[in-house]
Amino acid sequence: MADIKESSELQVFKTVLLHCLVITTLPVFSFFSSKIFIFDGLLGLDHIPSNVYSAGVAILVLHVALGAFIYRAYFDDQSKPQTKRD
Amino acid sequence: MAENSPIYAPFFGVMGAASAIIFSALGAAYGTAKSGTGIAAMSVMRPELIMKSIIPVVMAGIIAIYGLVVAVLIAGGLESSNYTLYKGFVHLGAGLAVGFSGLAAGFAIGIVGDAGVRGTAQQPRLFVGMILILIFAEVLGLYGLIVAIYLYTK
Repeated sequence: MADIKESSELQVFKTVLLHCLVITTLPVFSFFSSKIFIFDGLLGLDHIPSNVYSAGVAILVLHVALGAFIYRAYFDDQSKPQTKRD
Repeated sequence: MAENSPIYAPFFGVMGAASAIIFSALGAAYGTAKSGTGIAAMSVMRPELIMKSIIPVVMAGIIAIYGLVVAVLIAGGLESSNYTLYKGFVHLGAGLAVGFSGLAAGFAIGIVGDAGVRGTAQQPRLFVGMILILIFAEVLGLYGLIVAIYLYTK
């Protein structure tokens, strides 16, 4: 009983930590990687358009990650009352 | 040196970059702290809801990322020479737009997150409503970001 509770709490902590890391680091990473590799390197855009497009990519990635977290939080918690009941 | 790029022109651009991140971080900090007190009070009795109630904190953090993006954009556009006064004003306007929108959105997220998290502990069907209100509060910061990026391209 205590083992199940402990492991589920660890599971929740791991999920939250993973999502928070993804939400905080992935937009910054995607901003610079899309700017350097795609818009500056591959397409050879000017200074201002490449900045704006990579900002757009970063915001898009950010909202996809946030949507994934809300989806997980909304649909993942249903199984927990069952484990507590027995 | 040309007439429309005086020595003090970059001051306005630098202040724009600084105010973008300062005011967004102020709003995000208020949102995190206010909804954090709600989560701390709620999870004493209902610890299984922590995963759901972290959402206001994450949304407040996203406000700061908006400010960060605009501050990085403006800082990338600064130059030591040939920086016109017009460009400095535009950058200041962009920074203030995203900064104060982020401040407003952070205040809204903090108050809604506090009340919503406490209410969700007693009536779980409130969760969908809390998420919707939080998304509408978040969109206020997104509008500021859109205006700031539009100004930046001028």
